[in-house]
Amino acid sequence: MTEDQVRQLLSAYQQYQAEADALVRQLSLAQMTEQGLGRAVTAVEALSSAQVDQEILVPIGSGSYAYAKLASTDRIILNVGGGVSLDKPVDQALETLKKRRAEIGEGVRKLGEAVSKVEGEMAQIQSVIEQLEHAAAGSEGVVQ
Amino acid sequence: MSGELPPQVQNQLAQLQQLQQQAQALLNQKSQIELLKKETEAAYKELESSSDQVVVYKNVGELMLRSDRDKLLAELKERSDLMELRLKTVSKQEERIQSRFTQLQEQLRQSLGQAPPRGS
Repeated sequence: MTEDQVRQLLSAYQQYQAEADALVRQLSLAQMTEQGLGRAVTAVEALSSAQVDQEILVPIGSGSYAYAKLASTDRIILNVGGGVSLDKPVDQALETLKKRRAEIGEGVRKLGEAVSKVEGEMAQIQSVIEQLEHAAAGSEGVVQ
Repeated sequence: MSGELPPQVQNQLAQLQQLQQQAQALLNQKSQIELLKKETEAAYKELESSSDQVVVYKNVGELMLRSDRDKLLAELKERSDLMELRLKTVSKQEERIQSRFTQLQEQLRQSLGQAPPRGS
């Protein structure tokens, strides 16, 4: 293998590395969104067993809570994007949240596959480079 | 390597790199606007398909303000139109950069063709 080919291999490795980093960032963001949707689904489902006027704690950040009373158990406010939130019946909201979670889940699966593919390509290049290093070390030994 | 190139060629190469960076920045900007536009359109569609009496809130920072459906629909439409306009502007900038890039590439090719062979 010529010096130029080795340089090309290293450059391809670096490109795959950058691609893998970007994919992993996207994956972690998608996983966080999926977890958030999972928490929302759990909370909405829990509303069906709650009572109107039941005491609840509303998170206000940093693990702190404000006392509140539940005003409704059959309707919730759902964010629809673009800075807009709508009042929806619980069953409709749950359906939307579950649909979003399924879509994100599919995205997570595809991103995971893409990461594995890129990592496979990187492993192949790494193996070729290691073989070259061994060969080079062997030939140096012969010279000595 | 670049030390062996004539200053004019080095300058053209630097300009090409700069244009490439500008093109990348524009591309990022464009995909961000496209994403926001898509989100705005989806919100518009959702709100439009809701009843006239729907209870609707507008997110303002950490607050959610009770708002009017029709007023929000108009705001979303205006925002979507604004993004469309911004997309057109970015596309024009992209075209200008692409054209300058091609022009510079041709100049560089000519300069390299005229450059004296290395070592002479």
